[in-house]
Amino acid sequence: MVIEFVYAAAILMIIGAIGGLLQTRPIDKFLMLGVLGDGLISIVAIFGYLDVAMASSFMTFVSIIILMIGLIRVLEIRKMRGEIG
Amino acid sequence: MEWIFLNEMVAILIATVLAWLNFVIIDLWMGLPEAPGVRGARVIGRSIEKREGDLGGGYFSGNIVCSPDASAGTLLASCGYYGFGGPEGGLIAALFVYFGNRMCADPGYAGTTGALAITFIIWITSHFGITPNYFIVGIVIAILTIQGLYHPLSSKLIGKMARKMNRKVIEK
Amino acid sequence: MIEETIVSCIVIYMVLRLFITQNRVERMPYLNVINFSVAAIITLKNPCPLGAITSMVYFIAATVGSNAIAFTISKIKETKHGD
Repeated sequence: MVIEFVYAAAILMIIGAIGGLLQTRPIDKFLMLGVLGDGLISIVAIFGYLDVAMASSFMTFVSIIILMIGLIRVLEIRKMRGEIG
Repeated sequence: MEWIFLNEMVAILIATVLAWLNFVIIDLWMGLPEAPGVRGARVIGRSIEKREGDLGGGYFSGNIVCSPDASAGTLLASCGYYGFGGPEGGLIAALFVYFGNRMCADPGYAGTTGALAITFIIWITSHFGITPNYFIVGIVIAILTIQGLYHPLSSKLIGKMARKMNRKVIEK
Repeated sequence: MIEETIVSCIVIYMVLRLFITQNRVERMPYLNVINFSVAAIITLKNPCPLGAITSMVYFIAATVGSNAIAFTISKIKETKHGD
């Protein structure tokens, strides 16, 4: 039996979604969001929609950068108020 | 299992060894285990050292994760050679790796060197029957052995090779 | 055909390992292997010039995104420990 690419992409998406559900901290959720985005881009590319895959990969990268800036800003504000350390 | 051929397995094995040697030697020569290039590489290197690994090998793995280096150059050059059907794909891949290096604020030239070197190697071995798609599978298996199996053992191997080439850890 | 099996097995093994481990920093190299193999999948399935360009754009974007995740992990460790 040949394990095709579609099965690997489907398992990437399922484990990315379940992992994002079960993790508690925001930084762990971002890692699982990265895995989910990878699975989505690969399943789109396997079926032949290459320009959709290129635009989707660019948007995943921009969204991760924006979420990171937000998380760092929240940490700085919490530290300034004295809720950490 | 009639879809397994012996000469395909031999070709994948040869391509794996060539890709592993290409990216490890060029990265060690460019001084990757010496210092962390960006901040993310430092935390990965320290974590591998805490789990009984080598600090030089840890910085090596951290630099591979955070910035395009010779392993990225090898992968993209083989993809370009396979897609374009000729050596011009390798040159386009070197351009993309150069843009990626500048986006990560990395002033090195490890990625472009790796891409151009593997383009030359693929151009020679394509006359003997090892087509570029075997090199694509080969670089994925090579990066799996360095970063996916067991971090302390592979970092100690990289540290030993780095000391043999006189690349010590400069910055803590 | 043999290439499909090898790359798919590598992806499934790395994803399961990433799901199981608890250490946050140990997950970053596993994510990097997944990025390599997805870039290989895109080119192996579409052997045309646009497939190669898509694979290059995806890989550069994924590497810079992984750099951002590692930077945030180092910022969180610095805030908590006060280094």
